[in-house]
Amino acid sequence: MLLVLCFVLLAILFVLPFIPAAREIRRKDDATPLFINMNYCKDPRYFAMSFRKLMLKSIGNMSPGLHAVTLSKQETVQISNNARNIAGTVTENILYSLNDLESENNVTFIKEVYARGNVFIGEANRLQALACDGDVHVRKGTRFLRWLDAEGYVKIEEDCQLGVSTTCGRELSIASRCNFTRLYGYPVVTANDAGHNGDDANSAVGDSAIFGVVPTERDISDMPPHSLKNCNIIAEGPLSIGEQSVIRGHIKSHGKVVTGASVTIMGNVFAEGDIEIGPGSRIMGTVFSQGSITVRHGVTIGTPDRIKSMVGKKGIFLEGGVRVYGYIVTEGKGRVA
Amino acid sequence: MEVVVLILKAYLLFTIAVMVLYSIRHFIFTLNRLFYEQRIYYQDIIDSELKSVSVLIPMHNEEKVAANILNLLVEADYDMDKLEIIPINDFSKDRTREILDGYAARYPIIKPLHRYEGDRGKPAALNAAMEKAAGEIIIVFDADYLPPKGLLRSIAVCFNDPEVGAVMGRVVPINTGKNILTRLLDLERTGGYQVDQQARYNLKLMPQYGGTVGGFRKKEVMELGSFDTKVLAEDTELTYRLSVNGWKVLYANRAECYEEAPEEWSVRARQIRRWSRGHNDVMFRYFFPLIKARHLSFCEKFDGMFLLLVYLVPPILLMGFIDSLALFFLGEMEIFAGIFFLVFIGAYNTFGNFAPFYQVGTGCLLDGAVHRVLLLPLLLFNFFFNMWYISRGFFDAILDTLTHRKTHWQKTERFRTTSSKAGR
Repeated sequence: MLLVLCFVLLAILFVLPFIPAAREIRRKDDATPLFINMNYCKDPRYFAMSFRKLMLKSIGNMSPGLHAVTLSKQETVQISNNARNIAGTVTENILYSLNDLESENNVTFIKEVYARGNVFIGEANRLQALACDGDVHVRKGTRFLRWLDAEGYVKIEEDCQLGVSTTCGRELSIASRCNFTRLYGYPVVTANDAGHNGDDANSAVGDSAIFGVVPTERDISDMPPHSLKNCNIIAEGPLSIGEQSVIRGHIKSHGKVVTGASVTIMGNVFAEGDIEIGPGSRIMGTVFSQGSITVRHGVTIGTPDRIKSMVGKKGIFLEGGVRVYGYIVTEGKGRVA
Repeated sequence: MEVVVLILKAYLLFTIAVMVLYSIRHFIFTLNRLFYEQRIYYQDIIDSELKSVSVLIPMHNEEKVAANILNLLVEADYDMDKLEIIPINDFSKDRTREILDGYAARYPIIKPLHRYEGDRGKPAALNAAMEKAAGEIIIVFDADYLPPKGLLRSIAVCFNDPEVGAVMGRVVPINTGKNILTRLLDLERTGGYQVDQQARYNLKLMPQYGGTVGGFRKKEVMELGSFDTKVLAEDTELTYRLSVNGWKVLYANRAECYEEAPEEWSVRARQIRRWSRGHNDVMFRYFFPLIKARHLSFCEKFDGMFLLLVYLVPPILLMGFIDSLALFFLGEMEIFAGIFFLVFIGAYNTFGNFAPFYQVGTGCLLDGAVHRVLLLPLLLFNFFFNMWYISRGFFDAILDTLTHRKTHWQKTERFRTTSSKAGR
């Protein structure tokens, strides 16, 4: 009897794990393929473009006033010709301005704002998100919770919090003490651009056009000032590049990369560690770090008429006079000094 | 007799040691994915100067699937001046040729290559196409794959890094819900890609180029001798060839692509036996070159060796299983007294697949696929299935090496009957 009982117990214990499995096979609760967005394309202005498209489709030719509109859910949209928001007021609805938009100091926009003209945001405003078909000027101390996008120029004054994404179709200018996560502009410049070393026309050539097929040098760790290299460099550890050196190739380092002042790199820079780019330097390609990136005064990344990126996983710190043609993104803290 | 028993016992302990080592390796991968810092891939890079790309799609009697992949690729988000698509009609006897010619007439970027002479098979087809390809980067898809619009860009961008020789994307079965086999293969893929490959990328070890949904530098690979047409696992061979020559292989978890998983056990058996045969052949070729490689770190070599030997583990287990039976009938099973018995059983169950259960479960968790975790116990059956066919593939590889016989490429059968909605 005991033997039979043991056998039954063993059989139950053996079968037990398969019961939920059999149930899942029968019910197919989780049998659909993992989702892949087949239409996904990398677009730094994706949020704003989607919002614009949705707004224009939903609003159509509605006249100024309050309207109930279905966007992703039912919303109230305030449509105005030339919106002007008085200091200290709170706008609780989505705001759609058919022309320019101007806000005074300490205005709060609880929901998204879309202006078809230019936008002027006063000091210490709080916004959820702003899409603008013209230019945007943001006064100091303003905070965006999500994103800001403009078709034209964007000028950001000091002490602003730029949310998840700040993008535009033309130049994006940011003053000191601003925080960011993603920036996209053509170019992105930080205040005091006087240190920019100019000469864009001469550098407007693709990296492949410059050095074509080049050899690779390994095991380099320290390059003295005024070095000239016509090769790709792969460093197994940290890499230090002396001032006024010129490298006609790409760089990959498994450690930190530090460049001196006025270094020119005509390719991309990839590093497993932090990257520190010395004042007045110019990098014509993409800069990518699994650590953080510090960009000193007067540095230029990329070249006109091309889009390059600066990706720093743990953080990006920009001093004044920096110019980046394209995209800047970090998972950590982005800060203009 | 005592010597025989001693050898049998020693082999059993060796088997347990192998299992424990692999279990520890996979525990490290799993913990890395759950609790440690993740390295980012290069998908955040936006660059208007990506390299020119040739997409190669080997096709042997692929009339069921050819149109799907071509429809998707002509809509890819890539500079069309830098893109060409070369579907390789490799000795097809069905309507593949007509389908490809029809697409070529409509889309100038599609430049089919029809092959009815020379060696048949994927490596030979790729070699022929590389001679014709104009792109700096080669991206390869099997014909049943359904690449999303942004995939080419996600793969090509990593070649901005001068050290990267090849990159591998993530494969996701589209026919997951078809039957038990496809559901188990879906679990295997989840564990293998979401945890195993990504952890190897995080830890700077050696992710594997998988031969599809991946790319490599054309010129550099051709300089290294292109693909060896005698090798059935040309993808594994390329991984090791690039690695021992100083190139890195990356894994791109965000570069996802649907595939059609085998829906019949017989098809899966042939597939996995071929993989085992090819992989073990590569193991024989690269065992010592890997140890001697100059540009690989100790950790890369160590993990590379584990990866190289992974298809040797099932035969080791199979022989361990037979060994344990022999010991049982010889009345020598006291070796399994106490903790050793538990370790052995645990080790067996740990290897439901190439990805152990905790790795598969973690992969499901990361994917947000919570109910399919319930299928984990069924991997036990898959384990025995894999063990048998991988062991047969291993012995095939030994015979290939000893006799220098010629290997023949076997295409995996397709099951698609209508155009895929996922692809539209």
